[in-house]
Amino acid sequence: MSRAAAISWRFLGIALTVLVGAFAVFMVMKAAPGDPALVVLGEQAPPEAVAAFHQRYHLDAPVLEQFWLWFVAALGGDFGRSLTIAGGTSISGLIAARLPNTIFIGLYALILGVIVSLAMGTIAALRRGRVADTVATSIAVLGISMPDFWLSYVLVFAFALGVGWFPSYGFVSPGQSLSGALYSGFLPAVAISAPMAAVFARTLRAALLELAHREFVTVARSFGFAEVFIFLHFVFRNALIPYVTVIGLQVRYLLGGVVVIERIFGIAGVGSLMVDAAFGRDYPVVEACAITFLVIVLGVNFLVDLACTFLDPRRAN
Amino acid sequence: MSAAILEVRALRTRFRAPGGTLEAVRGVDLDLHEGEVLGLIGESGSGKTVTGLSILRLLPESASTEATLLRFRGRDLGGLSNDAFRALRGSHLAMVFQNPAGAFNPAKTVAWHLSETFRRRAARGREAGRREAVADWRAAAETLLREVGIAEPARILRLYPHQLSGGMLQRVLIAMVLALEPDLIIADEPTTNLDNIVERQILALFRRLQRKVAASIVFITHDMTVAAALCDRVAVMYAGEIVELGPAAEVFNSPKHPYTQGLVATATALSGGGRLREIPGEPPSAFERLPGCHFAPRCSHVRAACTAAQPTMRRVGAAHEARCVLYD
Amino acid sequence: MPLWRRRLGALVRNRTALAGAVIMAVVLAGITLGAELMPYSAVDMDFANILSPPSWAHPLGTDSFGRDVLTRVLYGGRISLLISFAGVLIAAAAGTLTGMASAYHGGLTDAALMRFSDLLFAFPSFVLALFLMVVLGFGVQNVILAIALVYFPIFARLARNTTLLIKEEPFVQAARLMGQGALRILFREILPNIAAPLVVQASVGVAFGIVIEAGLSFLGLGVQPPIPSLGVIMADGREYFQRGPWVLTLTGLVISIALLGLNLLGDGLRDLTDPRLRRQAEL
Repeated sequence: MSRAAAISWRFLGIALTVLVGAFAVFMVMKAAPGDPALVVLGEQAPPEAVAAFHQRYHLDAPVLEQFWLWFVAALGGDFGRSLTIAGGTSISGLIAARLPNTIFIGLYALILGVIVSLAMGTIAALRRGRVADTVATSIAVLGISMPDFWLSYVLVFAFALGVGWFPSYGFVSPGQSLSGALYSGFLPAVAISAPMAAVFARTLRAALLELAHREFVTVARSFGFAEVFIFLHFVFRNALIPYVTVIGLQVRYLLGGVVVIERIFGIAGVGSLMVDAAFGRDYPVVEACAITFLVIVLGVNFLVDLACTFLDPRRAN
Repeated sequence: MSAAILEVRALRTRFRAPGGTLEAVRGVDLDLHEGEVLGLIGESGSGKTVTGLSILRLLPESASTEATLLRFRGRDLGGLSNDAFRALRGSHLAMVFQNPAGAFNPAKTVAWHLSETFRRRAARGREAGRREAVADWRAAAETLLREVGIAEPARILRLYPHQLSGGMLQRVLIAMVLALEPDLIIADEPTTNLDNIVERQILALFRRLQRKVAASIVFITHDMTVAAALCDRVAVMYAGEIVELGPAAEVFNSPKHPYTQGLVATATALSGGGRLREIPGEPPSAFERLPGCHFAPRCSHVRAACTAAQPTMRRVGAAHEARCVLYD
Repeated sequence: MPLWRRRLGALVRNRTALAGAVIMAVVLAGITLGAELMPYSAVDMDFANILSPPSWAHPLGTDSFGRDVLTRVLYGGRISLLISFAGVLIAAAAGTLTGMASAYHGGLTDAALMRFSDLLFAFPSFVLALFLMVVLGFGVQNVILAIALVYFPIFARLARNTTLLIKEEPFVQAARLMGQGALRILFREILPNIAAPLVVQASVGVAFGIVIEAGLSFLGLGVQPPIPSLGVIMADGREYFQRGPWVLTLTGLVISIALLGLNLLGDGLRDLTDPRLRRQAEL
């Protein structure tokens, strides 16, 4: 099968997963206790008002039909309206406004994590068994062991309240000012990226060490290639495969971290929206946020998979 | 006899292992003459591969090699720094490896491997002071691939290693070594991992190329018949040292060392003559150091003098030696 | 020497696993015995000592109600660890059974079960947990369930993949030929051989489960006060972070130490049980 066909198949698979996922989310939400009508109108609402509410929002129709209506609308970009927390506002509008912030922080954290882990992992592997390696690996183990929301407070305590280099709260959206976003987003991004960087570094180090013992390294040496050349093209290049794969696997945890961090730093993103909606029992918003995150994860996994097919010739066909 | 291109005396290689120190090569002496094919025969664990790797300084850090003499074309190799030695590798010294599938970079095409080899070749020219730029490497690569018996070189160049069979990969590897135009090639069991038909083809290839390129080859193998067919002289290794050395035909037809005799008998039996007689027992583990001859526990001619002290090489023919007290 | 003694010896010699085990032992001792031995109560308020910084009398300081933080953390640690452990245990049991059955029967069952598992896995862990708390309601039981559901697909996949590898081994084929029932084969032949990576995964899972619980409770969506899980204590500490940063910071530190222990232990166990690594270590 050609590469284009394989990619198209993949895409179809993702679309199917989103459909099934949305269905599952919708159905599970329906099982949740509580009547949205009572949530919006209040516990003491008169039955006629409740019935009218039900009719207006198709809550009296068969469940499958409700899903179908909802899904069709969603495909057209309409996720309905917020029930409680932003009464009446279009949900897709809410998410559209907040998504760039979430993606910005997520990407910021990812890039920081990749840069740090590339450095740490490579140094640890090259200086295996020596001081630098022990230090790097210890930092990595510590990094994995810290809950990211705790780390963010430590960072705030040290760098914001302490020396005052960074703000302890508030986020400037990249739409308003890129430099402002980079500045105000630094601490949150570092907090999220720390456990990620640790995992990436460990994976890279292990991969580099394993590949350094492979036979093609000895063969390359017998051809008289320089050590640096061998490291770059034989060892590092092939270590990228498991490295990129792990990045894909960790995105799920990255997004989890984003949710809590958004709340702590007051970042207006999809994560904090979901938390607010959870407290406000605004079910449609919670659903929409869950599905948004699902799509992000699937999208990133798709990109990572694509990258892997380019990196690993054995997977291309 | 032509000049010696490689001279090795008292080569010893030790490995640091969790169980102790492993002495894989216990004092090997050999000479390789200009243009000859020297066979290095032995079973697994005899130290033949390690000998090859030791000469080329390709061993891991846990290994230590020493020799009283290690000379290439009169130049002392032992005193060279690692960088200086690296300059020799891939230009004057090269190796063909046993497992072609594991020898290539899985992420790169055959074309990349060949172009980097040609670049290495060109770099050597620069180091020697002469610019030997290989501008159109692709044409040269295709010619070489055809030489080693690959019918559609252009197509093969585009492929990745995992898409080629073992036989094809071995041919490509040989082509790469030839591209370097080395003076000395160490071929480590290049046909062991290939099936019989392919093996015969590769051996024929070696014969053809060796005549054409006039390289000096150390041909490592466990297969006596292969060595007999291809080599000018052979050295038989057992337990880390050479136990017999001489012209191939002579060693094969009248082996002097009991171990060689056993090998020859097995080889003849396998190729259709008579009963297969096994050499009883097993070679000593590389951790063991016996006071006397290491073959003594398995030898049918053993006597008191054998276990008393390490036997030395005795002359048994014009250019034929054997390490056995039988020939005092 | 019996197998278990050899294994124990290997564990002791592996410094990572040993360090992890020691830390975990200290942590466990703290939350079981230490909590009882502390002179303070975890819930009684002491308005005379509000928000006092760490001192000899109160090693982790006191909170806004004057309660000794160390005592609360020890009790909270017990609760958080139990919650996480329960969740992971349920996930491991359900996931392993599902995975093994899926691999053993293959075909449509396998495809269906794995699709379901993958769907669960496609959601970010915390988002899934959050979603479940909304649907099920807050509280300790639902946090356990949420952790179980987050970890179920991981165990299912792992059990399935390892079972697939073992399924074709000669001793399993032999058992089949001898007419042993499927259940018996699964439990007596296959399960012991796939246990090792599952245990490693479980240790990592408990560590992360604590983080999920802490995160949920920290946001107010998990364990509800007055139950002093670690997340709840941190949520408390967050209210007055600027005035009394030690509550949140030191509680988090304790969590981190526990996680460190679990991670080291998991690492060490992985080193010990991964046959590839073992062979490399022997070379």
